[in-house]
Amino acid sequence: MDLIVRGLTVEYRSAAEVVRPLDGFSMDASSGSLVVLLGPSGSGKTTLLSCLGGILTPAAGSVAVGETEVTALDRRGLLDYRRRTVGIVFQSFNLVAAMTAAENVMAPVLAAGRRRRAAAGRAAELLGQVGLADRARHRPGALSGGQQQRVAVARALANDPPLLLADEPTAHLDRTQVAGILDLLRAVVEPGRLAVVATHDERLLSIADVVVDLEDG
Amino acid sequence: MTGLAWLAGTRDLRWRWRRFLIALGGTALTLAVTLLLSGFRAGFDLEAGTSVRTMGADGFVVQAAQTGPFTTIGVLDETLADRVARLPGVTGAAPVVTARHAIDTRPALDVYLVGARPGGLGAPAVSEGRAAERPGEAVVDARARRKVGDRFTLAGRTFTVVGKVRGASVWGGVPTVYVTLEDAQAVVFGGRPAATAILTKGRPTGDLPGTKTLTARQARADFIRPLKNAVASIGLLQVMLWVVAAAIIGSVLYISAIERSREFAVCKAFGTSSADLVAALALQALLLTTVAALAAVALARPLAGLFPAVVSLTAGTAVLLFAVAAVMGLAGSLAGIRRALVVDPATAFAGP
Repeated sequence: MDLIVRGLTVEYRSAAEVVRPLDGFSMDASSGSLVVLLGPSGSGKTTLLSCLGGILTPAAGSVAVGETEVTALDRRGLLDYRRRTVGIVFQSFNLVAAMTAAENVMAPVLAAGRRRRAAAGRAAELLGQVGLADRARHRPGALSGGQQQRVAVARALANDPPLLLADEPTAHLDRTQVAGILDLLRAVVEPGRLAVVATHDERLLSIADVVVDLEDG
Repeated sequence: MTGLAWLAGTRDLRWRWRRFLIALGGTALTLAVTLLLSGFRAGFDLEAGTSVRTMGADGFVVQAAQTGPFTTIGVLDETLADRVARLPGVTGAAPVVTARHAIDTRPALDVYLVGARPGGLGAPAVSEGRAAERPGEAVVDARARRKVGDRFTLAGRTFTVVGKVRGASVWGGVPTVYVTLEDAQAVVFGGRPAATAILTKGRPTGDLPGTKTLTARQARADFIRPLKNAVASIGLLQVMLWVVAAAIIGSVLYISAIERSREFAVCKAFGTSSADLVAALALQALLLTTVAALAAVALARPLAGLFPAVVSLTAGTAVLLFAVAAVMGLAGSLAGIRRALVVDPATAFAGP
């Protein structure tokens, strides 16, 4: 599934002025590639990810993922899009503290309407892929930052989405953990899947197929 | 209930178990008190029913101007019983004297005095000892705390306890004292051959002039009527306690919902429906209230024994408790549910 973004504008009011973190932004990306959105804080990286994820509705412009015109979807269509088309890795892991690693991965599968047994099987498979099969029953608090980020990646891949979004995936990791996550992100980008990673960490440039510098617009 | 709602609801309960345990304790105590109040209220009905049933009468003939045989005193001639007995539909009739009185102790022990002919209508079936057959003999309810053989004075007359009955109290634990008709007439009417009511076996098809006949159901209603305000107050207190229970559940779930805002945002971001979030929180409320109701039932039983009044805890009351607790729990969870529903999934992208 290819990604096509055209004239994307997001605006909100801050006090008396209108702020536009994205103003007529456009980009294209092909399936099977890893796109790095580079830019400092406030450059609109996270806003763009929110639009790509069907979480934020832009003031103008369009986002198309494959045949799906995301910006034209209604509420139910967006819900379905978020379930089946997008997986998101958040900046601060955002794992559910009350659930084990396996249950965190199961959650999106269950949200998509699949049965518990299928969800448990998928979680075991993915945790195996990210090297955490032996930590499946641990809660996030018992995992290191790198391990939590791996669980977050596994959760993002739970419904085998064609679009993977990652927001500052290395922000809270130490040097050795960063290397592991870079390898993992690179490894999950396969034919049929597009990854868009927002970061200000230039170490991610080494795994990028495409770099979009948001500072330069 | 989807798998995700179950997973999210139960895991959060386990994760924050200390907080939920405190809420559970508070709710269980509140529900136990409401259950006791229900039992207290049901106790009035039970006492009235037992008292009327103990008299063994189908009809209660009283003065036409009287509201009933127990709450107002009207004086009938004792011999009226013979005329009532000849009315169509009546197979037997007997005079009875009933009045509130007190045993002469310090402090005085309030009792409900019933005087009836030995072995006739109005005389109770004793559970211990024998019936009162001669002047100066009395059968007392267990709540009078008198043993067979004990003596007591009432209106200056001395009585010996010859028998006991159980469950024959009125108006929230006032014990009934059964004596012979002659003794009751001496106490209440100064020895005049009068009665406050004529009890009938079978129901008369008509009334003698100046009298009316109440059914057992009407007599029971007459028994309870003076408690109308007390019953209404208990009902109001129960409603207030339901609100307290809902507030306890609601506040705990609301605080949890505030703390879980990020979690809700993440769940929405990966496509969790609002229905699943509502179900997860409603499940927590239902589980909490159900366990609290179970604990309340377990608590209420031993606590009921501490009350001097009759507390009637029935299966029906317990079932009602579960139903109302579930509704209150769900009502209490509304604020938390609303909080979860308004969370913007975009906040999942925020930093720590």
